[in-house]
Amino acid sequence: MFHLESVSKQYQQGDKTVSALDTTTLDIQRGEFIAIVGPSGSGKSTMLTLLGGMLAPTSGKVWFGGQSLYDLTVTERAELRRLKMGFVFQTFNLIPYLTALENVEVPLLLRGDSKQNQRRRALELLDQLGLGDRAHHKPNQLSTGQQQRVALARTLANDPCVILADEPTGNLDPESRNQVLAFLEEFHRQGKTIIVVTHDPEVARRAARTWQMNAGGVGHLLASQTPKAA
Amino acid sequence: MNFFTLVWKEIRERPTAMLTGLMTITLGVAALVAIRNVTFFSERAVAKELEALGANVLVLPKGVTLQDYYSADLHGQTIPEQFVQQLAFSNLEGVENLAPKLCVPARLNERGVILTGILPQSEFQAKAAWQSANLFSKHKGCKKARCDTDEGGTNSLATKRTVQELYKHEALLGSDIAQATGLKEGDKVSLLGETLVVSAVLPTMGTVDDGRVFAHLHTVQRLAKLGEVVNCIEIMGCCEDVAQGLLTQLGDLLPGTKVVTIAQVVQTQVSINRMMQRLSWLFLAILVAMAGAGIANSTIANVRERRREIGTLMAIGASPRFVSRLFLCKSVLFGSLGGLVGYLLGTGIATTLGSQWSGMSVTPLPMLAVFAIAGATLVSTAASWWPARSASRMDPCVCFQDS
Repeated sequence: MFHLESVSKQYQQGDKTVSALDTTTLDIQRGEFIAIVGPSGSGKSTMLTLLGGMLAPTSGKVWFGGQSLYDLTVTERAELRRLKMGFVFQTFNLIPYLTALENVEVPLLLRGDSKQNQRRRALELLDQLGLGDRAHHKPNQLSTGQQQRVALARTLANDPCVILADEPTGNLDPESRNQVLAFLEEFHRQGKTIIVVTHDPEVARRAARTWQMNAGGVGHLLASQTPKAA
Repeated sequence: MNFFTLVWKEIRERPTAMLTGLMTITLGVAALVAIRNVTFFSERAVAKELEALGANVLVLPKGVTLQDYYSADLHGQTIPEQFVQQLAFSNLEGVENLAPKLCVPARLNERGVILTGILPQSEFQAKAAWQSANLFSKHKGCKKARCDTDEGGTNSLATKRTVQELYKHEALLGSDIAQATGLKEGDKVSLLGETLVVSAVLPTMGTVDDGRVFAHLHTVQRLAKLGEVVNCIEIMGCCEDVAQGLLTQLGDLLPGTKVVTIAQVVQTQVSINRMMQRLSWLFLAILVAMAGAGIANSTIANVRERRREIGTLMAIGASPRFVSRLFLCKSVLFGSLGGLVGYLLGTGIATTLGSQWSGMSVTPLPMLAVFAIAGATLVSTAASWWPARSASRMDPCVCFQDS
């Protein structure tokens, strides 16, 4: 599904050039569950944004489904994200002035769905994630676990084939963390590709493969593992 | 949910920002609408006054300085009466009437009055018949109703500045004099040692003429022992179009006189109106710049405040166009609403305070609403264009940053 071909990313900080991602070549197969781990500042999030078509690499190419991602225009990449990708954020990134239901409707609005379809699909997803009774609550009226589940519902709204998650359990209590991990595994079982950036060894253990990153953006695959069931 | 729900909910989320933005536009539009409204009616009032006075031209002694049209003859300097005859038979195109005047101080019932000598139209007609000559020449193509109107009676002194008939032993009383002295038609009055009969009391004109006593020009000349002279000659043209032409012809015909049009007499008011009009454009420029800067500033702040939200929307597939529309739609809404409220407020100020301060009737101008709403929307949208564009070009990676 993804093919990173000698991809690197450098930032300019004053006179200094900082390497956020060292030259990396990586293949991620369709339906794979891969964890990207490493200490802070090792380039995990850079990797995720590169995969998400939001940050052009300094060198190399990022292929998605046989298409060179950064040869597409900004609008075309936005469309690709809208139709094929879903994001999960550490801080949930829900729109504070919209209810849970409306937050889930946003990707459907962007896709151009009718109001009826938006409502039906959003309610279905919230029910599926156990939030049917919280549909009309605003994010500040929900617990952190509930907020992350709303965010997961939003991610699933346009039925993406790949989910890119940035520290999805970083801000959650153990119970909510287990719930979220269970959902990610469920999505994986449904055939979705899951790419998770995490500090959490427990999350990494659920993945089939782990890409370890170190300071300077140098990364390598850890030995293949057997995912631990929840 | 639709696009507008998203915009509306965000506006409701930040009511202070919304009110500040709206107030900037509203106050700017209100000030402009109020100024334009008052200026419009002020210009119209002057135009109406000019229209009512007709295309009058005044012929005065050379050294006279003129402040007020109605007291153009109250300066003591004279020109020969012979000029009147010269004018009457000079075939000046578009001239309807000539009104020579001579003013002298007099006493009536122990009261100081201005005795004004006027020449009735019948005198001109008699002279024309006697000389077998044509009196005046018509203005070709004149479409004004004033042409050839023949209003008789004493009312014509108010409207046409002359009377058809006035005998040498008769006097006309201004309304204020008649009221103050209790004199009425048929009474006898003694002026400069001669007894005259009051042939009519003039209707109220609201000018200095209300305080005058009018008599035949030749009677006043004889009683004042001034000879055949007048203080001024008023020339009534049929329409404004002839005024400029008359000025040139009169300058050639009577070189030793000062010739002014009525438009020049009210030049001060016209100048004030013109200045107000220019000021309103200056205010427009200042207010547009201020409102524009205010809106741009408020949109920039809004973009900054919503960086993560914009990043998130872009991460989940919002196109740059969708993001810029989010901000521009808000600006259109603020602009149109601010324009409408500003129009209502400005019109309210103009109709209440404008009427009180300027003493003229100011009514709402619906056409200004169209300009106010369209202008405010345009300024608001233009001011938000750059911040909206920068939002649409924002790096979506900001959505991964911690709040």
